[in-house]
Amino acid sequence: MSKGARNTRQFLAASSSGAGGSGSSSASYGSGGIGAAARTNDVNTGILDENVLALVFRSLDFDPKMLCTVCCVSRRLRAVAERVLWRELCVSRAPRMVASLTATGAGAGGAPPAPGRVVGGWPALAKLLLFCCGAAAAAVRGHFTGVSRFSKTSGRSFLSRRCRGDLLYVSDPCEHAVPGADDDVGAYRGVFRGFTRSRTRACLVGRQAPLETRVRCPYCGARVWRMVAAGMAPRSAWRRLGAYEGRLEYYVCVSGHLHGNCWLARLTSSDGDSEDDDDDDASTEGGSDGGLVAP
Amino acid sequence: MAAAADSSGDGGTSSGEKTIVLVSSDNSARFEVREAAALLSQTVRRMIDEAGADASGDGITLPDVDAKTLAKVLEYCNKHAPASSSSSAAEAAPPAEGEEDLERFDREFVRVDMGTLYSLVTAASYLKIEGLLNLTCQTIADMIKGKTPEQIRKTLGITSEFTPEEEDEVRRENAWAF
Repeated sequence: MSKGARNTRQFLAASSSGAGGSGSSSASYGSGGIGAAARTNDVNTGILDENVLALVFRSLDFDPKMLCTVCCVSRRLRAVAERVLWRELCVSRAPRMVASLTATGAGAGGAPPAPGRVVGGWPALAKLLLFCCGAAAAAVRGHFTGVSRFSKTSGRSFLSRRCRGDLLYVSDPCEHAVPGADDDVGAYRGVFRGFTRSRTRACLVGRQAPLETRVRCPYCGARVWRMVAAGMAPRSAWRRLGAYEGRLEYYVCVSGHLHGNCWLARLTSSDGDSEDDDDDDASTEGGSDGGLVAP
Repeated sequence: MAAAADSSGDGGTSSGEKTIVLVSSDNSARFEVREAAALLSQTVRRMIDEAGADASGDGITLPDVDAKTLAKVLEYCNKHAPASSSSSAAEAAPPAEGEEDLERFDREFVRVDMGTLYSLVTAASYLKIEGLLNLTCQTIADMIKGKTPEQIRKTLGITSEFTPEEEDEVRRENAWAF
């Protein structure tokens, strides 16, 4: 399990849930337009040219703070960030995971996302890689994480038996002390590949599982299913996390982002570590396969 | 008519080296430069390859680069061009000038107003001059590093186009990394 935010980390002002949707990417901005290739008119050249911006931000190592800042500068820059810059951040931090999530595999039906796109959008995925959303029920606020490890093996333990063909990455739980409680809360998050074509979604829809009314995805703002209530949380999930039996909760949004929390059993040794994860793990680290993310 | 900023004087023919003529977009300026300098541009390189042996007769017109920018770009190319002008070696060969001298040159070179910097970035991108593109992008990166959105707008001369509501929303959405 990751060491996470026990005592030294400050909980930042960012809300841990109900973040506004990032989905305005299809609006057209000014006279530039999103779909336009770099034209020779003044609007999309110079600093507004997306190739130039990509190079400028590569010099900045796609620093997430700078990216968040530049999204606030203008509509055009936000549009380029949504299409190019956040994607490049994701690729630089977790190349294998991103490659895996965007691979056009044999879909059950429906077109796979076009190359360069990911279900739920790049800004949401970038935030998911780098931001622990905390646990609202335990008054644990979300915070920027320094280090995250995502694992397909962990993800597998969150899939019910008949959905084991789906691909899901889940992070190590980020541990939070809760005042007045003996145990820690673990917050974790994850992402499906091609959720719209997944067995998990098919099962949820098939059971007519209701969407939650009061919880939203903290990464893209979309509506979510509560997996325990839907009967789709296998026991392997809480075992994998080292959580108390039955004391976990997690949600999957319609874009395939997962977020959840659990009460961690401090005394047990990590059950999940006995499996050999190495081949399956994708760690969010710049440029290589092993290790942990640089924020 | 502007002449090439060529330190060896009258355009290189005296040294027997091959030269190339580049013409700005509005046809107002012709520059004769050493082949080694011109070939720092992958775009020029490709144009020459495509046009064949008689390309340099008329000069190569660069439709997207105006005279002022082209002059400045060629100043960079002349400085960074390798000593040897054999076209296959042009990229791999080290420049004629020393390392420190080049760094000093580069620092001075980018001390220009934003409009010129943007023109240089655009030209370097179009002409595919890797060194110049990296230099200008790094310069811009250094200018915006650590700044707030307002400061960035001011530095880069960008208008936000956001309504006050949109501005609030986008700031909320993007507060998470701080």
